[in-house]
Amino acid sequence: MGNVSIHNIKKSYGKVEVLHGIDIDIADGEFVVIVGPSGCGKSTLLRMVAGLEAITSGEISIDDRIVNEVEPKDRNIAMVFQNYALYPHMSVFDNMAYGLKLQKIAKAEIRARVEEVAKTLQLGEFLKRKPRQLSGGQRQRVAMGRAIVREPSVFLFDEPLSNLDAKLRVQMRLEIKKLQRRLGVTSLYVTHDQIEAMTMADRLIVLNDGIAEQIGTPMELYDEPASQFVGGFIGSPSMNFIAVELKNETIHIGNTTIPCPDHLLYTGPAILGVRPENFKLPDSGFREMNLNIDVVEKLGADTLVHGKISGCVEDIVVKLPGNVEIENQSALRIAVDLSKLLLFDPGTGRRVGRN
Amino acid sequence: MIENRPMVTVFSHVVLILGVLLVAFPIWITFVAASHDAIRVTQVPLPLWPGDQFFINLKATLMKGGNGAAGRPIGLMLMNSLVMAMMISVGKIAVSLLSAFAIVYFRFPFRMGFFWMIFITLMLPVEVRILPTYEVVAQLGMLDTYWGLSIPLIASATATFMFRQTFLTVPDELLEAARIDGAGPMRFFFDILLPMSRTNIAALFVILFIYGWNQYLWPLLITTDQSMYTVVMGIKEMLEDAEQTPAWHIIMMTSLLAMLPPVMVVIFMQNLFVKGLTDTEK
Repeated sequence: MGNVSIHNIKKSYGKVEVLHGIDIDIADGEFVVIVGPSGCGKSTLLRMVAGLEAITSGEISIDDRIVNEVEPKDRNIAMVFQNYALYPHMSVFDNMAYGLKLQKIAKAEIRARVEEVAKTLQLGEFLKRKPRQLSGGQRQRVAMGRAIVREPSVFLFDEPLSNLDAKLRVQMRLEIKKLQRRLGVTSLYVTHDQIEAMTMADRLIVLNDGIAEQIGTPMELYDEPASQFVGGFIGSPSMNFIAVELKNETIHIGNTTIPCPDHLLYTGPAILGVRPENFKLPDSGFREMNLNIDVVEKLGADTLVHGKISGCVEDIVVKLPGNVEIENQSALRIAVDLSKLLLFDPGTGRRVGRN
Repeated sequence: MIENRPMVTVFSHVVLILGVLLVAFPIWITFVAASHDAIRVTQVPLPLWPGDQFFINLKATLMKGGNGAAGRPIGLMLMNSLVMAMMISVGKIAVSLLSAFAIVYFRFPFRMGFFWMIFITLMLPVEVRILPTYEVVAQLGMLDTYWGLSIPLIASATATFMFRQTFLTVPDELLEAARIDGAGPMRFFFDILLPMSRTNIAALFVILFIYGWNQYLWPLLITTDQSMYTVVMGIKEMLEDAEQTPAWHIIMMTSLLAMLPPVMVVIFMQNLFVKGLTDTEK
């Protein structure tokens, strides 16, 4: 129960194809996050699973049943919308009960189910209020509650936290995650926020321009991005990319040369990907290079140094511990963790040189 | 904005009070005239203060009516006016709600064509199409009936257009949420769209009721049976009794009575009316 299988799904609006064939099998109880920049087709994909958007070609099945032609209400799904889409003229109770009423469930049972869900979401005292009398976070919870009372086999979330302020977002994202764990309901969650994606997902789909760039667990995507896009999208501050040249088992970065680590097997020009935290202050075991400093940001726990490696044009970010003493200096000696270097093809952006 | 210019305040109050007097004075004269007997009303100068005949006149107007051919009790005319105004406003609202619903939420061939066809009828009020409309109503045998009084006035582009705008402001997600909840189109219409538009409906009802109540030319044209006269045309009829002097006190009383229902509608629906025109919360 509750598994979703998306097979070679395509979507076109007229002649414009926005999704170019997405494939993923989602197991029962899994929390899958679809992440990507705006306009990449992630909401479209979710809405196709919901049945709100027609499928151009391909197959979607929910609970092992092909649902391409099934009405949204018969797909056994529940959806939480970005703006919550609560019925403004109905009380919280009626909002949550509306779907059940239409299913012709007995009044007493509706009452029991709604009240139970309201209790778990701490909405008990608000049941008689109208949505406009609630705060953003409470509305969000009502929207969640409306989805939960239906006891669906799949939850669909369309950027449900993007209308909340930063603090509440962090709190709600934890709550949603906990709730999903407890209910064990398969969930498909769309967001453009990579932190949300990383923290909540069992598995991530990174969408870019209608193509699934990579599907995998958050740490797989973080450590082994399949493309420059995924590397740059996942992680904050994002990965640094530097154009380099590989020759004779050395990497030429600007006017510095470092030995090529064993896991990289490549010659010719490439894009080097280094995460900001894989830079260190010089220490044994690392090769040093010169960083011309532009700006230093002190965040307390960390220090972010923005600058350029001498001989390079790319702006990079280096993440150092918070207690580093950087006085009014214009340059810094830094070293890079050779074992964490990644290479990408300068043309296609795909990972290359994996040994 | 904080302003502290006493002259401006005084000046604007003077202007406003003058405006109120200008509007209220004819109504006051009507009221005064309705409270005197027939002889005093026709004497110069006109009385400026109410007399003691108000209730006597009221009774005479309701029971007996004016002089001559049109001398009929006003009660029936008020009733006719009420039925006509209600049929027009309820009919207009029902038709416009449904047509706006169709235009906004359904995809059918020539959708925009139909919308523009409806919209163009704004340029064809009753006065412009009065001859063909009369012909059609006559052919349908609806002369001297409530249907004949109201149906030609029911089709309304204004109301359709207004509801279209209202529906367009309803977020699409609400429709989608309703679809996932299992509501079909008509369920969505009755459970969600209708309650959400209720202030607009109320505002429109006020406007349309007054529009219907004030209809003059159309009822004048299609009613020949006196039992179908409306009060607005009734007043005019009273003035045209060839042989007798017009019974001004009765006419004025009738005018007062004719003014009453629209005023009541406005007073009782004022809150909703203002909300409907200004509310943006959805």
